[in-house]
Amino acid sequence: MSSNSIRQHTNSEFKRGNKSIITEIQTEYNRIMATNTSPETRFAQFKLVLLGESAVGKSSVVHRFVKDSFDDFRESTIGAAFLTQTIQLDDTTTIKFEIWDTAGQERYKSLAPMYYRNANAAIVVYDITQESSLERAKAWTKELQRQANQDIVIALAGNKVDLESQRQVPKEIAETFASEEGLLFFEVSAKSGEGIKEIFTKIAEKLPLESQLKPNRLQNKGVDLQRPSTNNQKNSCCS
Amino acid sequence: MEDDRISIDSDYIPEPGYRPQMPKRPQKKPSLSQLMVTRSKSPLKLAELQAQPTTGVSMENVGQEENELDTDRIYNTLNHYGSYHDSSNDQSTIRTTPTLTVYSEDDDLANTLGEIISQRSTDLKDNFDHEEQQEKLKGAKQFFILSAAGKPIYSMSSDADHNDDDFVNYNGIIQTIVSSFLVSGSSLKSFVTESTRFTFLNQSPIILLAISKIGESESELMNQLDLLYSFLLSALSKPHIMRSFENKEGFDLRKHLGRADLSGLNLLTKEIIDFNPGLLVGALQSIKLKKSIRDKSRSIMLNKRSKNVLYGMLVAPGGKLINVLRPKSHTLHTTDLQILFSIVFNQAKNHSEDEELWLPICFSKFNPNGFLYAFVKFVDQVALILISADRNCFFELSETSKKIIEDFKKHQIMKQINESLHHGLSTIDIPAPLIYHFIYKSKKHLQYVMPTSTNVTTLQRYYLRLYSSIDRDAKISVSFIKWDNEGKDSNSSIAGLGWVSPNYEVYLITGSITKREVLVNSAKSIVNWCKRYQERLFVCEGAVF
Ligand SMILES: Nc1nc2c(ncn2[C@@H]2O[C@H](COP(=O)(O)OP(=O)(O)OP(=O)(O)O)[C@@H](O)[C@H]2O)c(=O)[nH]1
Ligand SMILES: [Mg+2]
Repeated sequence: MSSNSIRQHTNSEFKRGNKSIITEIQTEYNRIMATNTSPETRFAQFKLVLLGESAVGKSSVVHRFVKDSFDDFRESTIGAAFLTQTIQLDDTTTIKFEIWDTAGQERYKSLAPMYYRNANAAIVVYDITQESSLERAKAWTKELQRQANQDIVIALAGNKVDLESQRQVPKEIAETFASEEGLLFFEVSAKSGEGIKEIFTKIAEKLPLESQLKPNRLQNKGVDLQRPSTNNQKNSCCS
Repeated sequence: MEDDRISIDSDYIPEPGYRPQMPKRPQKKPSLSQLMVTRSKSPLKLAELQAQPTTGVSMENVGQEENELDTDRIYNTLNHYGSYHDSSNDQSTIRTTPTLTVYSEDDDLANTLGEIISQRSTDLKDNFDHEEQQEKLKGAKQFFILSAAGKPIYSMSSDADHNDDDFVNYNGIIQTIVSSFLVSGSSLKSFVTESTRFTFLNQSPIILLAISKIGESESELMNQLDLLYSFLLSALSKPHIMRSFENKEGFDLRKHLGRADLSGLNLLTKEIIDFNPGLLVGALQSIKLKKSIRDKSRSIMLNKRSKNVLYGMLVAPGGKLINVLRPKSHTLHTTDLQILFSIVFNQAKNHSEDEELWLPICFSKFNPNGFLYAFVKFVDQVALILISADRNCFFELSETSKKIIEDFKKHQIMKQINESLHHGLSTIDIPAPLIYHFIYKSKKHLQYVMPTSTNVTTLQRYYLRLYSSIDRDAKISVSFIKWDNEGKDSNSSIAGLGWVSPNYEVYLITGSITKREVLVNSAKSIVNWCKRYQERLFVCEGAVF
């Protein structure tokens, strides 16, 4: 059964104003969405938070991902910034990230739970040229494991690999920590763009897509039967 | 403004945080005699002072080694200091020293002063365009923030990495001043040595110091220091600062300040140095906008307001006010808004289109004990700011902003604003053709307008002089100043007029005609014009709910 036939069906039912039939169709529609038999219908929305010491490059990573740009003189974040980005995971799957880019400055620490509370995923960033920033990343990881959603997907990202000559954190050390804690692990550069897309696509792949589909479709958008497909979203740099 | 109806978030207490402890270094205390050259004629040896650690003079120390400090001694130290560093004397001559004339009411001023002479305006640009003067300004001013124990917190510097250098250079003087405060309980706030004025603001446990060679008065420098102090409060809040120093006099407040705070302070000091007239006259700049557009944007903001929106502002780059949404019983203090706008546009520098900001900020003049939260969204260059006391209502405010912006677009409001910003305000618009530049402040609205095409930085000196020549105690005060032999063409003169009444303040500058009567008449034209177009020039009503 294609979404097209649903649409036709629905239109005529709407005209008759038959509520029970519409409900039935909605149920059917959601079943299709959830079981993913239609190639056009996979759409999911995830909340993602970035944490890490000030100046490790959280905002730079986000802007590379969202705008595909980099700024050598970026202002340090105050409080937090909220951005969204939609990516095409594969031919049939569209993912929208709602991103909280938090301030690394210590005095905002007590506000952090507000941003990670409902997060589906977190990127904990450190700077490979600053040893202390890995310690901070470890502390964030522990806090997330204790306080955030049980099934949150956490990625550890060592940023600024373009500054290889100034490296203070050996890759193996961070990698070992990540695997012990069950984190995704990446070394990236917001400046060169290396590895940035990958963090987000790997996170998306690891997120439980099916469970995201139903609640999002129903709560946020309702089931707009006139236009059942939302995957006409613009492709991003990461598609 | 004390407030009991609006609850603020006083739970969010910035944390001292996770930071490796620095090993404690034993403090070497220089004796005061090393720091001070009192009545001796030998010059102050700066090199010696520089060798001393910056965390020097403790109170007991001072008390034991020297008798009470007196202003006289500081004065002497500074004299040496002043001559060591002094480079630019203010050469301007005031021909007609500030004329303070009180008129019965403002309107017949021109007549009172008699004959009006009409002259052709020459191209004044050349007159004001002296880079030389700008060069002189460099290093003519310095700001320091330190703890009462003398620990550096901030010094204005173009180069963040060398922030401490200035502290080292000024160490002697700073320590002397600090100890004079603490030991003798000196109520001294300001003094002048040669062409340099030193002014302090004692907000124990924080002390702020301004050093200026450009002829500002004590009260002007005090305002600037208050702005910097308010900025510190906006980031940290008062309880946080007090707690940091509780039982820890030697606490290093820099531990709690991040890149964003330094950048914010640098921006504010730069605005002061580059001359932001709003900081001088204590008002926000507003943009000229058709009344119908301003009214429409006002009603949209009112209609779309959601329940947790406490304040709303529509602001153009440079902190220019377009509209305000506020509760009937509450206004926000100009200083709080100046700081908010400065922070918002500093964050805007590299934002991306759909980015939305959620900034905790303490409005210290409103309530220094807690935080409010500012939602910020940019439409083109313009910022829509919605303020709430609830840190959890970001998404409510985000929805509200979407509705407001959607309606703005529907009614072409953004287009009109952009046009207005593009056109700016020009002296050509005003029937006062001989005027090079002016600043008009409406006291009732606490807003000002000025021509936007001129770089006002080059006029700083004249405006400062005009501003401080006004008698603030008089109900109405007028001041006329003429500077001879100014500018490239050394035969030309510059003249200015300041005029303050209960409802407005106007300051104007001209380079071609220097007859007082003509200036007075021009001032009158400006005042009439600004009054007539008041509803276009200023946010008069705002969206009050
Ligand atoms: N060489 C290099 N510099 C980077 C990279 N990523 C970020 N930077 C620089 O590092 C500095 C800090 O970057 P931000 O993105 O502001 O860091 P942040 O983690 O968001 O910092 P806060 O907002 O203070 O928490 C900026 O000057 C960036 O230009 C990178 O991959 N390579
Ligand atoms: Mg950031």
